[in-house]
Amino acid sequence: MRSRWLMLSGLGLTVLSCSLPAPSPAVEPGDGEKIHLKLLYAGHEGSDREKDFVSFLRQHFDKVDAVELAGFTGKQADGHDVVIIDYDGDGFKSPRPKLSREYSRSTVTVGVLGAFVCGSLNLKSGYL
Amino acid sequence: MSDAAQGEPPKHVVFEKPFKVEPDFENWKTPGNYRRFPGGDELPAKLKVWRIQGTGKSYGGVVSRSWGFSDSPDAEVLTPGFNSGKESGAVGVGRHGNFLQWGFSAPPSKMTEAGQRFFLNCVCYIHRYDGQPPLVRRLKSDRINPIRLALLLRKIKKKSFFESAFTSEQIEEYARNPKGLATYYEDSYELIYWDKVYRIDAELRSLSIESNRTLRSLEQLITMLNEEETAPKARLLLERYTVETFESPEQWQEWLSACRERIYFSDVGGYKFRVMPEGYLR
Repeated sequence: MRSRWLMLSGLGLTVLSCSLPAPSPAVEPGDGEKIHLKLLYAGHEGSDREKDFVSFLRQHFDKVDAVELAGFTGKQADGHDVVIIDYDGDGFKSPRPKLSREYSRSTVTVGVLGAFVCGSLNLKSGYL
Repeated sequence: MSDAAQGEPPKHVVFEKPFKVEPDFENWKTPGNYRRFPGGDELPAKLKVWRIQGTGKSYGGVVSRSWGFSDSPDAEVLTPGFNSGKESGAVGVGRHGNFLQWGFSAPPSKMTEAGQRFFLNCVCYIHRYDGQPPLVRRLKSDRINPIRLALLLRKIKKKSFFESAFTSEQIEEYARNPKGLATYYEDSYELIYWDKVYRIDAELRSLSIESNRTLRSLEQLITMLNEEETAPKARLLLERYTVETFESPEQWQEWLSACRERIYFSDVGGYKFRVMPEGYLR
């Protein structure tokens, strides 16, 4: 009986066969080129953490813009391919952007704050 | 969550492109919290991990529950995170629709090379899902939840904690026998559903249907609509487990024939059969 627990509590039990959705094409760089994506980093403007992320990402991607997370509604994502939502300090106290259920820009959410954002949208990746 | 991802990365493009992720594996002592969850007592003394970041802390990041994470075609676990609060296998990095949650806490300068490469790949990978919001939202917990909660009956005295999981009669009856309640659900695992509390589907069982989440069960119910004796119960169950409202058996059959390849069942999505859009799967 006990070994069944491991099976049940593994990485998900999918009864009906589910493969992954058809992805849009990836944008990959040629040798020595930057990755052809325009990123928007929404975080704590002026913070060391923002500088850390943005300078790293600029080494690898065509374009990286940064905006303050407080006040981010998703509208600012227009003109960008991927949004990164992040903040410094205690994720429990950071601003919580309010995104609508219709928001569909590809987005990376980071850390505790990210899990709260996912939770507010009833995603499986939320903080529980 | 700590600094590490748990286990060997699965074969997945997110560990290959555009940067090859080459983890350095270590073996870390299995955290005590893992033992508290179903299956935890069977884990080995040490677990294989690889460092994503180097904060030296066992906290700071966050993992999501693994149970039910992959029960719909819009979500996938990319790596479990080695953590000190939840179960083994809890999700350190995972995708749901157009969102990819990176549960680690450190900025790039504190990531390992493997961590940096994995992060960059995640940014590229999620772009594939631009414009593809989730198909389901988290409405309920996976069916392992009543078993997990039953085992807490002695530890948590506040009855209200269990109100949305068990009836007050169950809480009374099993107060001193939590394993008995866990066994009650475990023995009928395929028939668990949620309606105000976690229940075992007696109607389904009375029709000799063994699971509430297989395509075969759905087919059986639709066939039973044609029999006078079983039709009322079959109709009730189709209402319970689908989001459709067809009138006639023919309409149900037509729907099943048209959607068969795209039907999935999600506990987290509300214990329902749902249909993914045409062309959704590769």
